[in-house]
Amino acid sequence: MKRVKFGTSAAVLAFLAASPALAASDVCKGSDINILMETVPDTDALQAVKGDFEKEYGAKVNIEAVNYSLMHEKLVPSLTASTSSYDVLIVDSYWVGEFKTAGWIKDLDALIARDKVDTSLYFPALMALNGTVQGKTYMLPFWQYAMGILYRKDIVDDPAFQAAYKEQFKRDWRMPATLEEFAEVVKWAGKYKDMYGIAMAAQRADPVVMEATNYLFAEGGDFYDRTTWKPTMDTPEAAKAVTVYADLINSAAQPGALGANFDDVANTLKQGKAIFAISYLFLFPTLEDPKDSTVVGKMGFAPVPGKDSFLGAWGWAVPSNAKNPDCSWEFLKWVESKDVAYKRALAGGQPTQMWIYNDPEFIKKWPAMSQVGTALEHSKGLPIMSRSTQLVETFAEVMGSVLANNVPPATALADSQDKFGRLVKGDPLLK
Amino acid sequence: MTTATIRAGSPGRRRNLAQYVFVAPAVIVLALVVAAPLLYSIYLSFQEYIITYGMGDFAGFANYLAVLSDDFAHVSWVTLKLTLLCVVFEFVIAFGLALLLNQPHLPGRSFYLIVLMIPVLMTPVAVALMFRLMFNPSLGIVNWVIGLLGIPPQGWFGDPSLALGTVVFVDVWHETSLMLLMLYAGLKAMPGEPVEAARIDGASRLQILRYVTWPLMKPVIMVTLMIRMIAALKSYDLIYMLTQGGPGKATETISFYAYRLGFRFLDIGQAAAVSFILLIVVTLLTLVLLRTMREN
Amino acid sequence: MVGESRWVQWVSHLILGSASAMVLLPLLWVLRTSFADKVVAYQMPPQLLFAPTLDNYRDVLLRFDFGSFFLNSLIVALTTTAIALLLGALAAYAIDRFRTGGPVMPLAILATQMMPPIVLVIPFFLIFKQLGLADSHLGLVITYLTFNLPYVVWLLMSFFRRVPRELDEAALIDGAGPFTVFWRIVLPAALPGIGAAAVLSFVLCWNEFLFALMLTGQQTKTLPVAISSLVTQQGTAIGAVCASTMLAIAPMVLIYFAIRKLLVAGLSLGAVKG
Repeated sequence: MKRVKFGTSAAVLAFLAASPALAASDVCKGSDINILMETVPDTDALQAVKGDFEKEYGAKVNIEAVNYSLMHEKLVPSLTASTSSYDVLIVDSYWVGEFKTAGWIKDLDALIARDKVDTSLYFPALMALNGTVQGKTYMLPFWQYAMGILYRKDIVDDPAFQAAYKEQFKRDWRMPATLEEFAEVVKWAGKYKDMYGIAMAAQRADPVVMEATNYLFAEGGDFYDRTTWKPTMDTPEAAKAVTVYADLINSAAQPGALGANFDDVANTLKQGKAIFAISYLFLFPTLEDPKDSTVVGKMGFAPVPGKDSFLGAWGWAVPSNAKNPDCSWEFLKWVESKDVAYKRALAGGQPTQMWIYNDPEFIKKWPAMSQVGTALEHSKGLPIMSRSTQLVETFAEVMGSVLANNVPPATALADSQDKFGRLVKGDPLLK
Repeated sequence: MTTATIRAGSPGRRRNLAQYVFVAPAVIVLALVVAAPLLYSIYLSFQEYIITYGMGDFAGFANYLAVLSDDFAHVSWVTLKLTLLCVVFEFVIAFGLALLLNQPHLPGRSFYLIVLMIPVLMTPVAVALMFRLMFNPSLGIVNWVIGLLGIPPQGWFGDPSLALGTVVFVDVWHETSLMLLMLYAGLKAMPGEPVEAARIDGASRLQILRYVTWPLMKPVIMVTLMIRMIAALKSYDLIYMLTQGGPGKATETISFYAYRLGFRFLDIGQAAAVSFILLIVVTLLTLVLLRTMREN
Repeated sequence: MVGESRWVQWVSHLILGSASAMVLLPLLWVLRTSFADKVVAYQMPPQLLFAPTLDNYRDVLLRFDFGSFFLNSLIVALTTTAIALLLGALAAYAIDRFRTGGPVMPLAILATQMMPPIVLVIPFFLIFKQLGLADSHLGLVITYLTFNLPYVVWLLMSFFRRVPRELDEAALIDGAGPFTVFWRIVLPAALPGIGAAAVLSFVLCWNEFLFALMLTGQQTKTLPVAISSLVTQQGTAIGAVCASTMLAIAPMVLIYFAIRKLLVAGLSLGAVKG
């Protein structure tokens, strides 16, 4: 990008103040901004305000919405082509390593410095997961996927329930503090209320991995020692986590949980058939929609018990092969500007900038969101590595052999050590 | 009259030229559009190529060895079971229905035809979502209905021992129509005289079916089976939408495995290798099918 | 004899009726769901009487732009089918009658279909992008043509084979050109086959998913891809899926009824000629 070097005269300073808007409208004039997105609640909000961007910058914004699980398929060929079909990307947290290693996303540090974009507005956990890789900034966080316990507040707060709980466990009601305690309470509560204690999604790949990783992190386990990158699947913590998970599937979850995805979990909750679930906070807008849900106003959110929970996120990025990267960057700045970010948040998005969570109007509209800060404090994402999509598949295979073929957890986990080891071999991100 | 005797004459010359003109467009289109990617992917199968890391070195048979050592036997077995069950069920049902529909006097034929044709107009994505709704173990109509009959609720797609059967059911529901259509058209286009002659000679329905209809229908049946078999071996969208190959690996087919290698692992070398193995399997099965039908 | 045929009729209707019921019952459930919101859709035991909502149809038609996706699918499927039938019938005729290309030819044509689409799709995408054919109807038509042609050729070959050779050989000797023989004699005799091939080709295009996903953009998206985007991050919009399924089927059924007379005429014409 060519920029005129300015002197220090007052006239030039005045011009300088006006120049970003001027330069911006120049770089975008006549461009198309194509974005591939999944349909999230704030997509509609974005559709509604994108006209402002088009007017101000003279570019046309085309949002193409596809099913989440198809985005990766659709992006990869486009990113390997000489010019991308897309000018702005949204990147799932577990594609970050892959996209960085393949060189598909642009380093934004110079632009951030030039335009003085304040990345300290974002939750540090999200910047670490979906912003920077190896000290360089490649993305601005777009969505947070904090997970936690979704539970039936009305049931849990019922004095009769709490009395029965006291009778059973010889203590006053409290939200479980460890995974084992959670499992005990879930099993008991399901029997006591004659409901499913917990709604679970153990379908292959993403659903089972996103859930079970919470159990793994809660027990203090992990896939690797994140400094030496030695696989740690053979640890007692991992075995315990998988054992608890399998036990809940067999004794407290809805039938057929092995084929369920998170939509099934949401629907089981919405039909009032389950008491607990460990799932995404972003389900709240639909749990609170009377057309979708019979439990409006009855749901609560609490952090995952134990050590850490699993965190996912999305980030905005500029593809390296974008037709007009300068204009793509203008779009990123605009879409994450305070005003637009706030509008998207009110529409049911999952904002990534901290200040929005202190906004009384936002919290009034989405009360469960007040928990996000706490949830993010004890959370971590999948390791940022080049082959993390394969990490997900490999862990799903482990869970599959435990859940479907009844292989003892410790055996299945120990057998997977080699495979996990192979995934990090030669990874340039882990040097 | 044989082709050779005709070819000698002057009209023969004209048709000699004409036949190539007739075949050329189809062959050219196929060669241009399919051959290049096909050859390219065969080349890739001998290459170390994970998209993330970029093109690596020549790998020899390393990709083939890697995919063959990794529970390929299980995946092949699932593929074989799934294909056989689907094709056999669909053929038996479709041929039976086609014969019934082809009876000379059948009131309501149009109604049956149109109804039985509907499933094929539905995209597999919609079919899968619809059956996931109905087979939902706790929220679906199927478990409720069998509950009325006193059968305990089943896990369907979430039950390792039922998942494959449930997938077959959905596939049969969806794909029988197309087979029915082809077989029915085959019956319609059958010359009428042989059947009529057999009937006048006093042959029973079964005898007519066995000795007249079946031999006359054989070419159409063979092509129908072949088209369906190839499609079944290659398809992955139903598995993708219904089970993702789970629970465990209960419904993982070769094509879904290739899909995972290619699009999830971005390991194009291995995905191409699996695909090439599948190509060989499909070709062999097709040849077997052709041979048995011809001998039969 | 009369008694036997009545009995056969009863059994026929019983079997055809149950098969139709197997098809219709799930569809009725889809129809019901298309008028329901999520609360009703997943309610068990099911609520039989509920206040129907048109929200799903409104969503699908207005917000989701169902009309243009439907049109995209229709354009691509019809164009492909027309070209595939023309090229396929010519090739099938030549291969069946003159053994053009020897015994290898049919297999070679089919062999192009044996590669799983998963490995072809990335090279396809890259080449098409280079040629400017990505995100265009034409690109999709070319792709589908290569998928459908082999099946169309094979299916038509099996139908042409049964058209007695004496018919066209006599005409040839009478001095008719090969194309005239093909157009006037062989083609009409195999009309049901043409019909079957047309439907086969149409359906394969109509339902194809992977290549449609890769090679289309927002403007050229076909129905399967569009419907799959109703599986959103907030869950599957099952009502909208059902509504769009109903909307996709309805015109086809209407078209069928409109051209039923023609089809029946065509079918019986073929039968008589054969």
